[in-house]
Amino acid sequence: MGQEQSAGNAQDFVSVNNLTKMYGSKTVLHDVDLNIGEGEIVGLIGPNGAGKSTLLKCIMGLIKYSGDLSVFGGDPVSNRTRLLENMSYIADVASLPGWMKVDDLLAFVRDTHPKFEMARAKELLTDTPISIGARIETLSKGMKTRLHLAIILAINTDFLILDEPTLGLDVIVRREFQDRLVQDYYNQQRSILITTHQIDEVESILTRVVFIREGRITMDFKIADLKTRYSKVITDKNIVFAEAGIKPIYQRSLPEKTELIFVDVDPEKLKEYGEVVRPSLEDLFVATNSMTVGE
Amino acid sequence: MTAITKLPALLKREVLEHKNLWKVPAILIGISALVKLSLMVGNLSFDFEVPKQLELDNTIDTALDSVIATSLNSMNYMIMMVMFIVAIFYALACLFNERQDESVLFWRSLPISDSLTVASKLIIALAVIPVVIVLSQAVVALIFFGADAFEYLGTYYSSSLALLVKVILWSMLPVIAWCVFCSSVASKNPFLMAFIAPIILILVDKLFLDGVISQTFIINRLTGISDYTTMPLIWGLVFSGVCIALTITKRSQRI
Repeated sequence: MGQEQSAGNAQDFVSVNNLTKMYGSKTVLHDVDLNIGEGEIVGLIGPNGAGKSTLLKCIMGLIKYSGDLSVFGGDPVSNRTRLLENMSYIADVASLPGWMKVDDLLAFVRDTHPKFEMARAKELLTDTPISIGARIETLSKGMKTRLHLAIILAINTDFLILDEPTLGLDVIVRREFQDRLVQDYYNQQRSILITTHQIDEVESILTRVVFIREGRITMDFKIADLKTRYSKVITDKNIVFAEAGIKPIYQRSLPEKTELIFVDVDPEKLKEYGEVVRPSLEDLFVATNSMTVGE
Repeated sequence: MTAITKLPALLKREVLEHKNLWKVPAILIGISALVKLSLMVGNLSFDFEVPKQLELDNTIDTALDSVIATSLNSMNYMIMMVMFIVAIFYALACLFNERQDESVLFWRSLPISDSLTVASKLIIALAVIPVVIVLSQAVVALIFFGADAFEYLGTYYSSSLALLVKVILWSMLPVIAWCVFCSSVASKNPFLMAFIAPIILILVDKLFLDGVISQTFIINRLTGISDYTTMPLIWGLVFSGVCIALTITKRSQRI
């Protein structure tokens, strides 16, 4: 069902096998498998309550879990302090200490993080209205995010985790945020794991997409595969595909037309039924979410 | 970068966040300076005059000095009490504030262990504040005695420093450990939690039991211990150890 397992190898930053997390009797993550290597920007996409943040918290060493989880070759809970020298994350953009001055905060990070580059942080702040002597609580929400991002981008770790990083920000700041990520952080040796429930927003920067729903990973594919493996047919005819031996994974009936999504079907074969286009991530997301889990 | 090399930055952060750590001693020193200034050029003066026939008697000077030394002793006692109160309020706030403004999420995203963070708060309350006390007392003595201060301080410290260390070990350590714990768990008001829990314990003990438990565990530690014996010290250390371990565990669960 479109599930693609990337083979685990020694270079993987993150290696998750049969990860299960329960809160009381409620299972939040069911046997999740996920490997992330270098040079990837992975979007973990799912509706609210799907288990996105729980999975991230396991990877960040914030909560206990059952199953196999290795981040930079170790258990994230017991190796947390050492792990954080190789992995950065923004838990919540509203979490910078308001009482502190910008330069005091930068000095603190410099003195506690071996991979922080002060010159880089200052350079990233030069074209912003953030003054180095300002108290953080006097900055606007957008500026606090810029500051947080500047600090994180000035830390030379190889793996960055962002949990709904642009929630509550206006569209200009959001776009700027993504551009900075791609231009200033991302390269072939580094990876980013980003969660969101606003797919259209991150689609352009991702190299790989993981859909999660009700604690299970429902799809895991590279953006490049979106072109080759998935097709969307828009037709005004009412067709019964079962007869042709091909089955859409999703069908949406609109007043004037019907939209159908296929996986691993030759687009040439589909042309006779209607217009064949590349589905958007949103199409696939809706398609996977309309299926019964475990189908 | 090891834990030890990160510690100075953590201590600096505490001083930046909790301004009372330096403001309160600065105010106390300022008051002393004002009093001294008033004695020199203002309205304050000693209320008696040395009779003419005794002016040449050296013993009078000594007696006068000892009067000033006694009043300075009480000033120093005040500095110590005020700084203990500062330490208690610091301990109650240190882990509560970061939960209130959610900055704990940011601090925990940096490679600093929870034990090191909690250690930095204990070092402030139990080592930095006592050093501030001793230094403030020295400054106050210098203000009043000038060059003669060293003689006074020699006598004063020889009796008070050993007592200060005992007070820290027997009384301050368990009190601060308890307050830091309250700071890390109280949902709304760490101050209430820190004070109501021991009050209830004392009440129950006095009303239904023989009162010995609360006397040895709480009251003696706060009102002053006459003889510093080993058992109360051990109980205090055990209690502090439990509080500190729970505090570190609680902080590691902040997500």
